[in-house]
Amino acid sequence: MYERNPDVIVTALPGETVLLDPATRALFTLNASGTVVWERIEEGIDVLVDAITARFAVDVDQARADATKTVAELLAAGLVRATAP
Amino acid sequence: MIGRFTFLGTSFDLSDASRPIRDAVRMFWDVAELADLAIAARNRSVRVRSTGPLRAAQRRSFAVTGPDERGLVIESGAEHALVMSETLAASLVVDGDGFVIDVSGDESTQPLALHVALAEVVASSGLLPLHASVVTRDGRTVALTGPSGAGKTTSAMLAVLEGWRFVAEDSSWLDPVTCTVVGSDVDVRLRAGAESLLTAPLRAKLGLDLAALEHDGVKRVVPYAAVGGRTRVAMLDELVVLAPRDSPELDGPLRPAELAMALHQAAGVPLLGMVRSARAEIIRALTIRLSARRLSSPSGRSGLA
Repeated sequence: MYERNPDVIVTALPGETVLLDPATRALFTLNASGTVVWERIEEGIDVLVDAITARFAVDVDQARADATKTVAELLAAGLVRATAP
Repeated sequence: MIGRFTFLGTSFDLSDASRPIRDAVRMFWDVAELADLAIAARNRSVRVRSTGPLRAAQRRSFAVTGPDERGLVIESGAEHALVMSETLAASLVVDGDGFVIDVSGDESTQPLALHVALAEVVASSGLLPLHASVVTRDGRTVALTGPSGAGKTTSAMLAVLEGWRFVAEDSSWLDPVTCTVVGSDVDVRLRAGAESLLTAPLRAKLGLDLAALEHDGVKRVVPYAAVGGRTRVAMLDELVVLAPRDSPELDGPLRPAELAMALHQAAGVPLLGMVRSARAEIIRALTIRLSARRLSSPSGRSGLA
């Protein structure tokens, strides 16, 4: 499972989210589906896929691919961390 | 010699600070002109004290960043920060509804660490620090932002030659509730690149000989009085992000997320957790109140309509 980096400064905008990592001063933007991944990341990929297909016009395969890619990007940027299962 | 004064709603007490520290604060903070300015921010107080070497007890366990581009090493916590330059350390601690800053180290050189700690106190009152050139004309005020070297100062100077007036060349404070912007730097400083671009137009239009002005070793120092003076306080209407001339991005309006990123970049990262949590909400509110666009870096004209 995953958890958000609690140090990140989160600016929530309509349909988008801007993340600022204070340690690196790096800025990131998330689109609407990326925002769902960020906000509910602790619930795991399966829940994220359900949430994305419920809100956006994408099929399950596309939603899983999008969610997996976003999680990988958030992990690589240090914005979220993997937690012990 | 100053002991107590108010700056943008923050009251400073320097009674326990040494003479060099008092002088440094007066140099950084244009106290006389801004003392009585009323703004909507929450009032804060700060005591600045000169101490011996920082005691081990003052150093706790924090997230450490740096050295950053200014050479500062920063330890950040929720209600405590330590800012260390090569020569000076400033320990910032929340004290009731105010702050205490303990300063130690060599006070005779530029005490950048103290400046950063003081700025954090002012930021904690709800104001947004803006690293930008701000100009105003006919009641319209524009902040020029962008990465270092994008041409903020050059663009602002070209705008001045087109009838705009400076609010600030480099540093100002923005009240996010009213969009009041207050210039807080003391003069215009030109890098060599900007100076070479501006030498001819400034001589032609203002009769100003840049080479005759003081040089601080890095930049040419131009008094505001030499470039049409300054309007200290204005209402900010628009933020313009200067893009490098070879940037693939086209000039045009910014999305709210792009404006938020530009504001975060212009404001810098807060040191204290309490300021960080407020910062996102301040910037979110500004994405609704300000208009914003991208503009290619200047080549002879400011590009401000």
